[in-house]
Amino acid sequence: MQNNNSTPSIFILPVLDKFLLYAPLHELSALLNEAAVLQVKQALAKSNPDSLTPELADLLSVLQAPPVQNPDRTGELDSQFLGIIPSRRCNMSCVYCDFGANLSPEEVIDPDIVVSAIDYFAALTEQKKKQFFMIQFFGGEPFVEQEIIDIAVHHTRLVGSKIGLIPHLEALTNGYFSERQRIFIKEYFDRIVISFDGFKKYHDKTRPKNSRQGSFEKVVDNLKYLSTCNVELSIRCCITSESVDEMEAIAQWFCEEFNLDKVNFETLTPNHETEQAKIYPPDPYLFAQHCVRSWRILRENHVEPAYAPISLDKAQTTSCPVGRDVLIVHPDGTIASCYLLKQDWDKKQLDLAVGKVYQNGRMEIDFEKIKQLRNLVYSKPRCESCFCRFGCAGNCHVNSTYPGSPQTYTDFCIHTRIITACRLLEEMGQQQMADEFLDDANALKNLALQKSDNLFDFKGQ
Amino acid sequence: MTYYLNPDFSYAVDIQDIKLIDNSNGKLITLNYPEAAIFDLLIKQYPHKMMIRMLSKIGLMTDSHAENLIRDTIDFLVQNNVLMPEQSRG
Ligand code: SF4
Ligand code: SF4
Repeated sequence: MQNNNSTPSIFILPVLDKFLLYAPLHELSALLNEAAVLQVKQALAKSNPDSLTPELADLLSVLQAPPVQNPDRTGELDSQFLGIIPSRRCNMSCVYCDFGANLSPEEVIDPDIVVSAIDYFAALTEQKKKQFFMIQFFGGEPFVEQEIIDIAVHHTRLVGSKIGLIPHLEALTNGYFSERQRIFIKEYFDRIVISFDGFKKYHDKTRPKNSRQGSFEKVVDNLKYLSTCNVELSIRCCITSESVDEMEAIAQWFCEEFNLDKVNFETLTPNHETEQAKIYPPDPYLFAQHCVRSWRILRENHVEPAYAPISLDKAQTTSCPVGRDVLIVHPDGTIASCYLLKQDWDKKQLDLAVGKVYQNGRMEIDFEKIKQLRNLVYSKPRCESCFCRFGCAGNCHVNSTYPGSPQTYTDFCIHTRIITACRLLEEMGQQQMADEFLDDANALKNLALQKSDNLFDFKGQ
Repeated sequence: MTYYLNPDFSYAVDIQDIKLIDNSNGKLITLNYPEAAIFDLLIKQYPHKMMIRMLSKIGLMTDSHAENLIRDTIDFLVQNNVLMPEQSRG
C-alpha cells in the first residue's frame, strides 16, 4: 500500500477564526480553535497524550484508529468503462477545443478494432461478475461517426444479450445532432453529457457552429427534447471571465429550462486559440464563490452538481479516468486511460498508453503500466500536503500536475481548495459559516494559499 | 429497395431486444439480436451494401451470411406487415 504513515492524511485549514480539521481517510471533519489543534497535534505525536477534554479524546481515538478508507487501487485490471473515440472529427468550431479536433488527423477508427475492444471488455466484465457493461463514446464529436456508433451500439447489445450483461451506453457530445440521431440517442443511450456554455451570448462565443453561425438554438432544442426522455442528462458548462458573474443565473435557468440529472461547471483551460479569441478563464476566487452558490441552486432543484475533483464520500487517488484502469480506444487502436491526443501527453513526458487493439482482433494490455498509473498521485510534489489530495488528487495529469509542473498552486488549485472547504463546512451543517468565509477575501486567500495543510506542519498563527 | 415502418406499428428498444407492437390488433413481435440490429439499420435507411458491411461487423459474420440474414429478416418483417416497401407509399 502506497499510503503509509509518511503520507499526510490529517489536514488543518484556517477558516475565519477557526480551524477545520479534515482527515478524509478517517472520515472525520471537525471545527477547532487554535489551542485544540495544537493539543491534538501534540497528542498524536506522543504515545502517551496529556489529559484532553472528552471531545478531543474522542477525536484523537478516531485519528489513532486505522483509517476506514483506503483509496489505493490494488488487484487485477478492473476498468470502470470502455471508452471509444470513433474519430477526432467535429461538426462545430469551439474556440477552446481541448479534444484536438482542430489539430488531429481525419482518421476514423476501424470497425474491427471497435468490436474486438468490446469483446475484450465484455469478457472482463463477465469475469468480474458485474451486471452492467459500460461503454462511453468521446470525440471529436462522436455522433459525426454515426456508422461506427451504430456498429458499436449493436455489437455491445448483441454481446450483452448473449452473455447476460446489461449494456450501459454513454456519450460526451456537443449536442449538435439531427432529429433522427436524437431519437436514436433516446432509444439506445442511458446517459448523455452535453457541452453547453449557458446563455446564448456565452455559448455562441465559445461554441459556434462555424465562423458565421452559432449553435445555441439547435443545442437547446436537443436538450429540451432529451429532457422529455428516459435518458440521464448532464450539462458540462465551461465558465469564462465573462460568464462567471452569471453562474447562479445560468444554474437557475438550466433548472427551469431542462430536466437535468447533473451539471458540471468547469473553468476554461486557456490555450493559443482562446487567447486569439480573447476569451479568458475566470478569476479563481470569483469562480469558487459563484460555484458554491450555484451548486446550492442546483441541489435545491434536485440537480446534482458534478465535479470530479471533489469526492467527500470516497477517498480517491485520481479524479479522472487515468489511474482507474479505464481503457479508452483511440482511432488508431491505441488504448490509453486518457482521451487526449498522444502528442499532448508526449509533450509532458507522460506515457498514458496502456495497450493496443489490432485490426485482426489481437489486443494487448500492459498491466505494469496500468499499475504505474494507479500510483501517479504519489509522485506529485504540489499535491503532497494539500488537503484535496484524496479528492482532486492532482486533477488533470497532463495539463495540471504533469512531471516538472510548478509546485505552487494554480488557479485550479485555488478554486478547488475553496470549493472543497465550503462543501466540508456545508456537510457539517455550517452553511452560514461557509457564506461568511466566501465573503471574506482574506480568509479565502489564507486557506487557498496555505503552503502545507499537513497537521504536523501546523505551528499556530 | 428502401422500406418504411408500417404506421400501425410502434416499437420499443428493450435491454436485449426490440419489441414491435401492432397497434391495430395488439400483436407483439420480439426481434432478438442480430435481427434487432437489422431492423434499426433498415429504418435508418442505410444503403444495402453498407448494411451488409455493418452487419458483418456487428455479428462477426461473413458478408454472405450477413446478406442472407438481412434478406430473411426483411422477408419476415414484410410478411408480418411491419415494413412496407417505400414504393408502396401512395
Ligand atoms: S495541489 Fe492542486 S492539483 Fe494537487 S490535489 Fe491540491 S488542488 Fe489538486
Ligand atoms: S489526464 Fe487530463 S485529459 Fe486525460 S483523462 Fe485525465 S483529466 Fe482528462
